Amino acid sequence: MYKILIGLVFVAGLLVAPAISSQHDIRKDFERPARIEFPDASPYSPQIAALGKMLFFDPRLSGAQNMSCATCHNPSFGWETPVARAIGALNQPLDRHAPTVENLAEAPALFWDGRAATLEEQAVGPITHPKEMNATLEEVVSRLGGIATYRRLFNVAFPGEGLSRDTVLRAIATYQRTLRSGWSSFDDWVQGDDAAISEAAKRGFDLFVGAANCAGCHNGWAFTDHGFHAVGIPSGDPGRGAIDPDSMGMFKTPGLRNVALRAPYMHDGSIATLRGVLRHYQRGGVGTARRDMSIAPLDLTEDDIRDLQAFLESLTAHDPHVRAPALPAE
Amino acid sequence: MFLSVTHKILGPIALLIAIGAATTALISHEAVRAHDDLQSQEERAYEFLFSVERTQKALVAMEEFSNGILSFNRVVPAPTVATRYQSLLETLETDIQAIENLANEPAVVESLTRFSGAVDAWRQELEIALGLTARAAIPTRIRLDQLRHRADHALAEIYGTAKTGALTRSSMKSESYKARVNTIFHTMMAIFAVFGFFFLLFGRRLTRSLGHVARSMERIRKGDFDPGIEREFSKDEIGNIARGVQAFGETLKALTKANERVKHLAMHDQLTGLANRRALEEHLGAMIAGRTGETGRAALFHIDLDRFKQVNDMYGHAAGDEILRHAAQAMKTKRRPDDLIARIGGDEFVVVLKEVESEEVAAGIAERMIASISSPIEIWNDVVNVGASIGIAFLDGAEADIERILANADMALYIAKGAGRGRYSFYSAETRRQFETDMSLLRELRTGLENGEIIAYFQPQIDVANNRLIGFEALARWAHPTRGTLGPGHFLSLAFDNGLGDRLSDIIVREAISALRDWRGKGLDIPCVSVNFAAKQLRDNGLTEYLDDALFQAGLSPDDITIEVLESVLFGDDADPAHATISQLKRRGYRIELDDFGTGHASISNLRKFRVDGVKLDRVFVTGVDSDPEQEMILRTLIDLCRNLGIGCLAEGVETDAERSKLLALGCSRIQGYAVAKPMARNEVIDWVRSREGPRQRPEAV
Repeated sequence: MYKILIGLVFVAGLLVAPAISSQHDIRKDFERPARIEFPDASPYSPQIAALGKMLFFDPRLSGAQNMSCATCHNPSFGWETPVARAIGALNQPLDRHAPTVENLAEAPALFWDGRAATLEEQAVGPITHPKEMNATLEEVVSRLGGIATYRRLFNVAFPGEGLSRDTVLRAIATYQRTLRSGWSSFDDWVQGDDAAISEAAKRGFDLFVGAANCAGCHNGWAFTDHGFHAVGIPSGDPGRGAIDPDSMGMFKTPGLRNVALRAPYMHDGSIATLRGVLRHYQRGGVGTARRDMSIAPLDLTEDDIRDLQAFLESLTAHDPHVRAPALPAE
Repeated sequence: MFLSVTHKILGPIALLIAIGAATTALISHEAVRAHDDLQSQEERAYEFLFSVERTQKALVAMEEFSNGILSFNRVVPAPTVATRYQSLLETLETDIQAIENLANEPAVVESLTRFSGAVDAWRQELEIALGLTARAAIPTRIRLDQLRHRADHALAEIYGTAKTGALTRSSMKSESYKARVNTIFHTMMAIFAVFGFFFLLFGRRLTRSLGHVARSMERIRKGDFDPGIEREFSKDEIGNIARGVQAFGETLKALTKANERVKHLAMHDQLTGLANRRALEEHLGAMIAGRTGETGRAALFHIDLDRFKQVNDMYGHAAGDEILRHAAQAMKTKRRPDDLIARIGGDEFVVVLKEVESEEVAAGIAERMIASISSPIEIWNDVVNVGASIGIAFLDGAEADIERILANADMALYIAKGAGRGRYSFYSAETRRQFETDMSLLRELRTGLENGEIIAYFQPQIDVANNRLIGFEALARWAHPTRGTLGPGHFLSLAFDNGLGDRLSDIIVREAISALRDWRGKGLDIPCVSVNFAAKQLRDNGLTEYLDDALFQAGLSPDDITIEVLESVLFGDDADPAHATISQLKRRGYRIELDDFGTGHASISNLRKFRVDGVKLDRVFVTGVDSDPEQEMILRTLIDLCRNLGIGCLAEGVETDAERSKLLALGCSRIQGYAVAKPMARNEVIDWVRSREGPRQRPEAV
């Protein structure tokens, strides 16, 4: 009897303690890391990153030389495309909405379904997919090898290695690892500037980490648990289920930084607006579709929706734009 | 403390100049120092701020460089990056080192430490980001930006601190400069004020002293020789001047006094206090010069005291002085306010009367003056009378010569005196003519005396009772070369008035003695010769000896000479030396006879006292006695008086036999005159006596 009582008190203490420690601790949960970890296999150098940027913006990486990585991962739209599903090399919509390439250095799995473990591995996909850029890596290496400047730059960036399939992928991946969302009002607020975001945004943050339970999956500085979840979107896409049968209908949790720039939303671009996304979760998803246990109807008012949206909009970077590099002609 | 005027004036000026120079120098020195301080401080501040700016620029350059690399738009080879980075880093470090070298304030040093830390952190991360340091974890751009901002912030802080410090120091410097200048200024002003005050005091004392001296000098200039410098002056030059002025003033005062005295002496007679001849001349000169047509005539009195010489001789000079003072006083009381009285000689006075309407007025004044002067004076318990004669001349419009005017008055006086004493006379052309005649006569007389033209005539005196010759009276005659033989009436008073009396008497005495000796040598029996002497001659000492000598030389004795003196000789008292002479002569055996008896003022007592041997009845009593009973009565009385006193008497001027008979009848047998014989020359006397001897031998009929 005693033991049970003591145990209850202990448990209650564990539950209450975080609440007492207040929002500050919660805010610190969203503090951005100072460094980007690079894998040993693909070490960083500014030369590699710069070369990678060129390649990212170079349409000569596609078969028809009509698409670059940036075609679908447009920095002006939060490294996405403002359509539900981007039109690929075959002039057909792709299967899924183009996800952002920001804040992916730490991601343990890439693609909506997480089938690639590294960015190097991931980069192969879009370049070589017939629906997408429709090229082969050999073709790309050969084509770049025909350009003297690229040859030289590869020699600069990869001394002793030069241009190769591997270095092309490493360059692109390295560049992508350097991509981080720009500094937002929310970051200022996290750093202690109470006036940085509106009261509505602050209330929205409270809902985000509290009643709305958004932070259940969208946690950490990048607002992602890098996990896979089913959120009640009606779709025939198996998602993670194609790799892991236990994860049928689940998709990778996307980060929410610059989310306001990245409409339409969800893995299939089926929800046009952020408000739509919020209403979706308010309802607890579409009843018929697969969903995690945590996805349930929420007791949120219209004001709460507005506050949540205000909070999400505070994640938009002050300066999201990226200057495109001049690409070598020959 | 003794300070000369030079020190008193130049000292404060030099002091004030020195203070002014010191103030200027101090303030200038302070200004220069403060300026230098400010400048060096400013230079340091600027240098510091410049180094901060350079650092900032270096930071910016580094940032731009890193941004260029990290925007990944260009592939820059690693060595290039390294080289460029190193270069930028060196610049940055040099600049930071420069700041560290210049930083001296704790606040700045603290900021600098923070800055260095921030730069270091940024640099390390940057080196990673630029691939210069191999690391697995690469800093995000945001991280770099944050570090960069931190460094910027620290730098800005340094900048701000340094700037504020510089400003504060600068303002502090200028405040302290202002304060120092203020202090110097106020100190100097205070010194200025204090010394200025004392200088003013000095100056005031100086100007006061000078003013005092100047006023004294001004007073002296205006004739007030009492400078009134009483207070003790300092020992400086002003004091010397003041004492000099005082002494000068006193000297001037003394000189003025002396001058006035000299002037007074020069213009006044000491004895009477009247103006002197010089003053008279000046007065007349001024009067003539200032004469206008409207002025009335001015009159000039030339006054001469009568008998003054006699009194002087009789009573001495002190008495004479008394007489002169009396006369002066008498004249003063009778003059009118504007009239001037001057004493121009021993007993000569001149009165200048302004504005005399007429001769009558002048005459009235003259009369009153004569009367006043003639009033009796008591001298040594004796009463003395002097008189005065006045010559009056008018200053006519034409007459401008002072000497001539005085001479005119003198002529008038001469005439007045000639007419008898106690008179006044107006000058006229007639006066001048008469005077000039007299003067020419006087000249001739002098010549005559030298040439022996003056000779003695002798008039016999006989006793008609027995027809016996008593003697001769020696009478002066002037054998004038052109005018014939002149009687004494023509020249006697002229000779005596002009100092020729003694000479004349001498001639007569010697003639008489020589004649008597001559006559006796010829066997004529002539008992004696009478000689006339004036009172003045009697008063001269030595008359007795003179006569004794002359008689001795001639072998004669005193009883051969009869001294005839005027009755008036005896009017004086015992003090008169003539009395002594008379007594002496009598003792020597000379006969003394009073001439012109009855006309003078001889007192009966003196007549008795001196026991004169005889008197000569004046001709005024004799002439016409035979026909005038009253005259006969007087003569009888006189004769009786002489008889009663036992004094022989002789009648003069007996011209007719009737008079001779009457005199004889009255008891006076001794006569002299034309009735007996005229005066005759000495040679004629011999014949006259011889012719007379015959009948004398015949007995006179009784």
